[in-house]
Amino acid sequence: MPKTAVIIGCIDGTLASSDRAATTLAVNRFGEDLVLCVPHGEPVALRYAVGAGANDVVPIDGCNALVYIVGRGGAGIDGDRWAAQLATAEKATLILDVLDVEVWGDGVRVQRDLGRGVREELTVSGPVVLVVADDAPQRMYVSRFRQFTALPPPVEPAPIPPINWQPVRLRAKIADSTHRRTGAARDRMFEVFGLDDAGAKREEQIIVADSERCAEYLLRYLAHHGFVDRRLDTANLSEELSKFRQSVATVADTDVTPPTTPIGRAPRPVAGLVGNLHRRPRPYRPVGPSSKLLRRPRPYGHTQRSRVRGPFPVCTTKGETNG
Amino acid sequence: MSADEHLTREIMGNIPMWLAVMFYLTSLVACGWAVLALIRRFRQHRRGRQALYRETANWVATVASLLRYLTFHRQLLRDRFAGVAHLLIFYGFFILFIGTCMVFLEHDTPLHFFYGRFYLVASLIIDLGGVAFLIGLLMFLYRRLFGNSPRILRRFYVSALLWLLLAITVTGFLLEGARIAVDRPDFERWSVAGYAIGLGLNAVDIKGDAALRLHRFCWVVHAILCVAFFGLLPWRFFSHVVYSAVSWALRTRRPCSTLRAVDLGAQTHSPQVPGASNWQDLTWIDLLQADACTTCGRCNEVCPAHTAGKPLHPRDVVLGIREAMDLSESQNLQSLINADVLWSCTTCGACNNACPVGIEVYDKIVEIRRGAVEAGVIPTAASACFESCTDEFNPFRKANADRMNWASGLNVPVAEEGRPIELLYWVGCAGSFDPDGRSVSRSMIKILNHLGVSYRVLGTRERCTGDPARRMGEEGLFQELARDNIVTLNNHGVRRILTHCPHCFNSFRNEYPQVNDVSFEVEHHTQFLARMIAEGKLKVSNNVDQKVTFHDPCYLGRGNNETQAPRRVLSSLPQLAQVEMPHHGRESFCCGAGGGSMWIDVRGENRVENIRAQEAADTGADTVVTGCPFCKGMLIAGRESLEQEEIGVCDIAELVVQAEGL
Repeated sequence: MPKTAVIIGCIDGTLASSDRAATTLAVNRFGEDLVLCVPHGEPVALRYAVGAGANDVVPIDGCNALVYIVGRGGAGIDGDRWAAQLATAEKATLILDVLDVEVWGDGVRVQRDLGRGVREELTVSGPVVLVVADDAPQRMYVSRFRQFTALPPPVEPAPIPPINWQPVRLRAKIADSTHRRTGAARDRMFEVFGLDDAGAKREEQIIVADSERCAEYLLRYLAHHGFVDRRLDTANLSEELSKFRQSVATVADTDVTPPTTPIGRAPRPVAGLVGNLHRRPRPYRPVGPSSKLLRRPRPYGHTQRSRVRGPFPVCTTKGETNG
Repeated sequence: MSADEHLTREIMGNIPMWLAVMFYLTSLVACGWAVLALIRRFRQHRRGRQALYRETANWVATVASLLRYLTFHRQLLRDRFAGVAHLLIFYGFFILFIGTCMVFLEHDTPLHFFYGRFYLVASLIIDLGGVAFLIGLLMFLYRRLFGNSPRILRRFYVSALLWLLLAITVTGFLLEGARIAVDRPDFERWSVAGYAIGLGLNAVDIKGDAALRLHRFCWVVHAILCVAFFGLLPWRFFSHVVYSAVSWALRTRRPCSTLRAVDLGAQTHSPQVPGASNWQDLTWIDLLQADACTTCGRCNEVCPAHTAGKPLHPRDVVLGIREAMDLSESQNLQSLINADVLWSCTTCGACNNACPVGIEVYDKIVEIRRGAVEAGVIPTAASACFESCTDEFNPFRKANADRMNWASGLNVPVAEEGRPIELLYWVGCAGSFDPDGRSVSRSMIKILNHLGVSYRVLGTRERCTGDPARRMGEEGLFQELARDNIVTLNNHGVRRILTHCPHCFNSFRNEYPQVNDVSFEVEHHTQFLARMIAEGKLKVSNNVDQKVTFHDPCYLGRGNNETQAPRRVLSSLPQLAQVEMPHHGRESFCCGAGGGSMWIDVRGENRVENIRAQEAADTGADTVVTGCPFCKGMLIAGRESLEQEEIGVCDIAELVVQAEGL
């Protein structure tokens, strides 16, 4: 039986059905030789998986598996990008929208959803990354008692250096969506990687840095715009970041030269370096949260289909407040 | 020697010494065997889990209750025929037992009292006891042989006891008749039955030596049958003679809608998981109750799932546990009680309510469900319901953010931080998300605003009470939700809770105190409306020219004994005529939504809600009124099965709003 890793995580603090299905498939089909990886270390996901019977918890770079079964939460909220990166790093076959999997000789036999009730069966040998569909039928229910009493191995927090809070200006670009034709996972992945149908790679659109550095730059960017408190205690952050470190970083960097750029410099493109990117970020005006930046709740109640979100006072009729 | 000392009879006369000795020895062996078997069984019971929560600490009250139960047979007399038959057997057996003891004391001890007037009166009473015993047996046998009640368990071991007791009685009477037939003294007329049989024997020319030979033969047969009875006492159905009274004495005093407390904290630190996968996971009282089952089938008769032709037979669940104990040490219960049986139960509590020996049937079903949940072997619908309760805090798979959508267009005061709430209107998940429940919530808001009562709702802070999760066996989820809700209620300083959902009402009133200390009172909206009407605050003026029938929700009527408040509300509505369905009050028939059946559908020949809707329609009422949003939804669904959809369905609050013209 091929060594298998199930990779799950949470989306908005809850375990998605896809991650439950991934765990169930992994436990049911590969229970004997299964390791668990929760890249972001969410206790909810850990407890669920350990409660389901996946006892061997490893960091993402310690998986060394032949079959990776990935849930949506494990893959990340930005679609299948991370799974694709993992497949690239592992030189593995990537299969999306998986409904079922079983051991088949030296490899696996996979059933995937093509939409509109059409299913496809694939037989794969060698390393494979399977992203489980949201509506995969097999979902084991792990009782709350089992989750309470599950004792996942502690995730070792690694010390992190204090964050340099100097303003940073990221030049993030929204990927060109004009090429998108169907919105299918394949097209989204091509779009993200700057690929076109011919497979040509537009490498200049890919920014390379390890996840830790990306996270730090993001924090600096957010702090500069008033979204994050600069007094954030890095000691408390260390645990969160160390979990994050275990995630995509090692996989994403395996095929490229480790960046040597010292901290404080912006991420650089892989090829065709643009000189402008080496400039130090232009300081922003030190202003407080601007009224333009703050988003206000939309007046509620103008249509009957309006939705109430969060513990806000409820306005049930137009122009009329409660209480 | 006193003058009337000759008014007695010879005990063990005509019986050789060796026969008497043999009788005593075999009786001793049989009784010893029975006692050993009972001890062995008792040890098996002790292998069950400790019962965490019993209300039998007051032993005086327990014994008094037991004596009342045995004396008046009130629980058994709910089925008149069976109750009378059992009453006759019970009193007959008791009198014969006392008579046998007197004979034993007279013959085998230095005591000498069985003579004269005492003997005559005792003979009369014992004979009458014997006749009563015989009549009771014949009644049961008649029902078994000629009756067509589907609830009769036609198994050999049930009939065997009746036939054995009948044989013992008949041989006993023949024995007495033969003794009297020998010389037929006049004073033996007090032994009415024996004397009549003696006369009969004389009439067929059995007298003198023939009567003596018959007497000896009958004595031998009678003795053998009695020894067999002693030895068989711990065997299957026979054992109910011993266990039933104990089961009744140890029965729960909880309302039948309330499950027993589960201490998950204690189980967290032990290798035990909640629920039962084999018989040893049940509590020792559960096991004892399984042995106490009289197989009377009253639970089957009242079970809505059974009536609808679903695979659940509550009696078979209890007998399945007994069978598991007989089979092996680690007999898996789920191999004896399959999933469809398990998930058919609507947890209406009718079986618990009907059981004449106090067996908590549906507690056992929920315990086995808990075992299934821990093993992860549950229906997909149940799993989806649990996931929804975990992620969105409601079992309807709706976004929690939409919880207040029902209040659109109404002025609903929502709880604010730091402001204590005197009266909290708990809307509940059905009241928030289910279309049929939403109209009830809106009606209640109209009534509350009309009354000018100061109240608040929790809005999106409200979560499911955990009732469906608990009934479906997810104890951990229930306790998690209960703790969260208690914290929220305490944070808002809630003093009183008003709810229109009997399930939420039952959870707050009976089950939340098992989880944590609570300081609030809870009131169902039928009680609230009845109180408002009684206090003159709610005056209904508009005529409601309708004929209505009230469907008692199980968790309100049977579960919390509130059957009068809704009827008081209805009787206060002008021009409203009330009719009752055959099943009403505490004997109400479930709507089919309880115990997670709102989400899990086990197919049967019919549907519970259809049966109930038909029953309501048969009363000729224009409208069936209820006090539960789940019942309302189910009755509306059931109404569609009727050939003529003429009956309306509404909640009592909606009827009040209609009458009030709000």
